[in-house]
Amino acid sequence: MLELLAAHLMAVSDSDIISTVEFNQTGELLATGDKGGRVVIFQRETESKNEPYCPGEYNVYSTFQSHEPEFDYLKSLEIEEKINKIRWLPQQNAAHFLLSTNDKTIKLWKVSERDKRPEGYNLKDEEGRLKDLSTVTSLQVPVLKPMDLMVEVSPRRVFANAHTYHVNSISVNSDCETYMSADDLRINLWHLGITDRSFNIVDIKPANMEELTEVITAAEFHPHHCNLFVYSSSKGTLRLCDMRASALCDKHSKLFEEPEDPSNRSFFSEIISSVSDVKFSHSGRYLLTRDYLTAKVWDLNMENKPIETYQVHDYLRSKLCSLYENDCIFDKFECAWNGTDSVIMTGAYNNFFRMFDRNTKRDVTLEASRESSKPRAVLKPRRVCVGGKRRKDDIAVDSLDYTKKILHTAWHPAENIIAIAATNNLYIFQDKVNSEMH
Amino acid sequence: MHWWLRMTGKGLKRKLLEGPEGGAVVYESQRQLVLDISLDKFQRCGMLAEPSLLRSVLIGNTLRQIQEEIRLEVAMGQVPGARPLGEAPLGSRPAGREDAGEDWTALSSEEDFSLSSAVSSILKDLDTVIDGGPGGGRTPLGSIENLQEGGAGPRRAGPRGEAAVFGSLEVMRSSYLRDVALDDLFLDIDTSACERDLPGLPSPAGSPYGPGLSARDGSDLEHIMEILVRS
Repeated sequence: MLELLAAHLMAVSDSDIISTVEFNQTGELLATGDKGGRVVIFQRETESKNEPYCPGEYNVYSTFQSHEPEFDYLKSLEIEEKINKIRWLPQQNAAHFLLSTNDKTIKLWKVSERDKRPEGYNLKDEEGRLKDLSTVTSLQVPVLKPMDLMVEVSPRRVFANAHTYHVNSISVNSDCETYMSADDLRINLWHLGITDRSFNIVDIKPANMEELTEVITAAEFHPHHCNLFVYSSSKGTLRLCDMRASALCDKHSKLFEEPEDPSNRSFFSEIISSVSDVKFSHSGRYLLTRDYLTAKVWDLNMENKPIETYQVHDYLRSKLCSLYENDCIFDKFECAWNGTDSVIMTGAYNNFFRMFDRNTKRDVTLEASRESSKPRAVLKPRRVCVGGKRRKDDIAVDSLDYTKKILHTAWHPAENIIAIAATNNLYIFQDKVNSEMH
Repeated sequence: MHWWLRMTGKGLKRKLLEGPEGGAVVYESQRQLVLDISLDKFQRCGMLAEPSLLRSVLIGNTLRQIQEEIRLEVAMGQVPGARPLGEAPLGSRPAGREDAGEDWTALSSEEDFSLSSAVSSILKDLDTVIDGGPGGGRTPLGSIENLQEGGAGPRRAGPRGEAAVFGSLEVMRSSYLRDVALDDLFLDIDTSACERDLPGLPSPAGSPYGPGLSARDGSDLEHIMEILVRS
């Protein structure tokens, strides 16, 4: 059972639409990016005094402008400030680091705290201005005085000018030194400390663009093996590449692809098979992919078909033509694993999101909405009525709101806490049973 | 208002009532509808605020697939038979229907079915818009000249891109019509979308239901969808 832990409801404006959600490695911090180029970091409060057994809520820790709109005069194109992805670096000292990217430029940010400030400089006053030297009559030792906690965010690196197409993914390598960035046709490998060059490790751009029939949709490093990464394509395939095999990974090591089911063939077969997200399991053994109608789990040791296929909203299969016409069919739903790789989660329409228990094969549809945004409100399972008898509280397929879509979700790395981005609102739910047991 | 789409709806209704070959007609109508929507979307690709290569490729492949299917049928001198969508492989030889008339047989002699090349050239043009030059090479001066003479502002593809997109559509439209004469649906295609002012153009991203649904007679579409769903 999930209860609401925190809801951050923003005013409705286009720039407030959340475009990515990401927990850090400990789950203590949660970052969101939005269409307006802002990054908001939430921090989990330490256990409160009133409810000592209740894990704290997530409150805003810091907000900063990561990207600004730019205009490319050479190409006569506007570059949006929208944050496409955020990835945290594993923490190595007191400060936190994260990567954020828009369509073109990746930035490395340092997030650090300061709760003391030096006082008593000899040559500067409290505001940092140089003192009139004639007033300095004696030497003093500066001291650190406590002050209100301040969170400082500063840009550390800007990785620019390496992507012609739109960056859809960034992924930090397990070596903690390199990361990759993928756009529609190419994947680049960077060193976190070097901004003026990157290595192109995948390039699927045909010599003649007229022959282009496939694009890269997502890419991710293996969580443990720093030489392995996977990328997904618009034709529904996954390619596992080994950087030890060659510098340019145009030849995959493994190709994961499921033959098309002839009984489901339609004009939209290819569009709905396009992979919108791919995630390695924490163990590194499995891959989770999302396409328009399903979520699939693949075993790295089996390339010809997924080991599990979950229907996210199969009732839309008969509505593909209108979903094509209104462009919904191009929506890019993401997917997430829980901490133990036993449950997967992904979004749907009408502010619904779905969870699938891989062991019990049970699934649930839940709704992130303002109605459920009272503190500690408990989520009720929802049901979409597909023909047959309609039970009370069921919602008919035709009444689903396709403007309310949950594209971005994140799962706490260790606990049953999930973050759901519903347009411009962020909902954080936690497992009630879990919190009561603490 | 897309009168030609409305026409599709009415035509569909009429044909369906006609009876025994309902399956084939429904299939043809659906294919026609998907083709119309795809062409409409393709025309807009270059005009979108943020041209998406993924979207263009997916729409382009859908167009290519339908084109290949029609080409195969034409090569066999036949028109689509009774094949409810989702049951028979696309592009396979359909059950025969001999009353198709001369349009289809005339088509078989025409080798150059140029929809596919139009799709390819639009993709290339889109790349030019995104990439700033064909083949990935930057042509800074050329682009700046374009900017000055066209006065293109932000959120608009450069004039070169637009012209190219429309140019290829023009080619496609004329040859497609001449060769196929599928229906009279295409006759007025240029007045529906091409001559619209850019600033007033509803963007699919702006309205969740896109220009199609909102701009069009809803009851007709619903009817089409009902029929398609039933099939």
